[in-house]
Amino acid sequence: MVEDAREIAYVEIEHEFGERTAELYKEYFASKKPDEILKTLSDLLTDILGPKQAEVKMTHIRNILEVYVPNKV
Amino acid sequence: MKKKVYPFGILLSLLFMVDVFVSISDYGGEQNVLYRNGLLFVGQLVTVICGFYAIRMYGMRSVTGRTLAFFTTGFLSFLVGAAIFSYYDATREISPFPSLADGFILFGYPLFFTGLLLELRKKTISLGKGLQLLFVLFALLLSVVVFYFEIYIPYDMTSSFFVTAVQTAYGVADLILIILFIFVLLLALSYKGGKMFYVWFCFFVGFILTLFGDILFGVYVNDYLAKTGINIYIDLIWRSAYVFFAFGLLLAGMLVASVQSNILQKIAKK
Repeated sequence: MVEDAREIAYVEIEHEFGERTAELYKEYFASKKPDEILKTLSDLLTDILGPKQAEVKMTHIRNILEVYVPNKV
Repeated sequence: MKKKVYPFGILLSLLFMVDVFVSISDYGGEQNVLYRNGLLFVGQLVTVICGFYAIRMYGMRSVTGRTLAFFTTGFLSFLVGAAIFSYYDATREISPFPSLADGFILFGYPLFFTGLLLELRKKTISLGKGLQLLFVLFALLLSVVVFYFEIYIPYDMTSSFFVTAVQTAYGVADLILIILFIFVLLLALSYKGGKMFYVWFCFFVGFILTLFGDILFGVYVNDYLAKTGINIYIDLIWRSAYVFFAFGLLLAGMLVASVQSNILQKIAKK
């Protein structure tokens, strides 16, 4: 689950803000729990992309995590 | 981030104010055209540099990075076109319109369109039916205006096929621009509440100013080429668009820089 959250956060950050930013966040997420990772990602997306886009993206991410790791999100 | 953005914003505004002063006061007499062309070149060059900065910050693996790469190539194409136009205009060896310059300028429009399509593919834009109808009506109205002023009125039976084709191409390019600036506005609105809103709002103002300048160019193309004075104001409208484009690109790059700097601070604190 932790690895899934890290991986999905990495992909999303790379997609939005580039590889260098994603690498930095990967380092930061190394010792974080899944809920902390998702909270940080949500805050980042809300700050930059606004609440509307952030909500759509976070819902999508949570859905993916639920599908791949059922009952653990 | 604000501390870094404001000085650059002031610098860009100052550059534009110098441009306005040089253009309106006819500063330098006979050398005035040279100064104005120089200032246009500087403005466009600053925009391209800001574009490369933004691409460097985002990288090509991010969608926004690729979008900005298309935009920057479009601005580079405009820069080359404007430089060729100025050269032909100064030397008077070849008529600047239509010429190779138009090829470069026209090439910029599909690049902007492709960049925007890339960005739209990854974003969710939800609009109420009322707003959708309003935007469609507005786009149709503007399309009629562009078609009338840029394709129908300038159409001259006595002109060569080449002149007519280039003039029509500008009309078509501006129809693309209408779609562009409406979707850019929708994108900006979808980012409302986030810092990215300001980036896309700057692009929106830039595109709308470009469209306004293009419509006036289409209407007054003969006066523009004969330099009756209207050319100065049309140029200023186009140049003001570069202030917004440059600022938007810089802001985009600085956003990523600030995200990176924040996370680096958090990592250091761990």
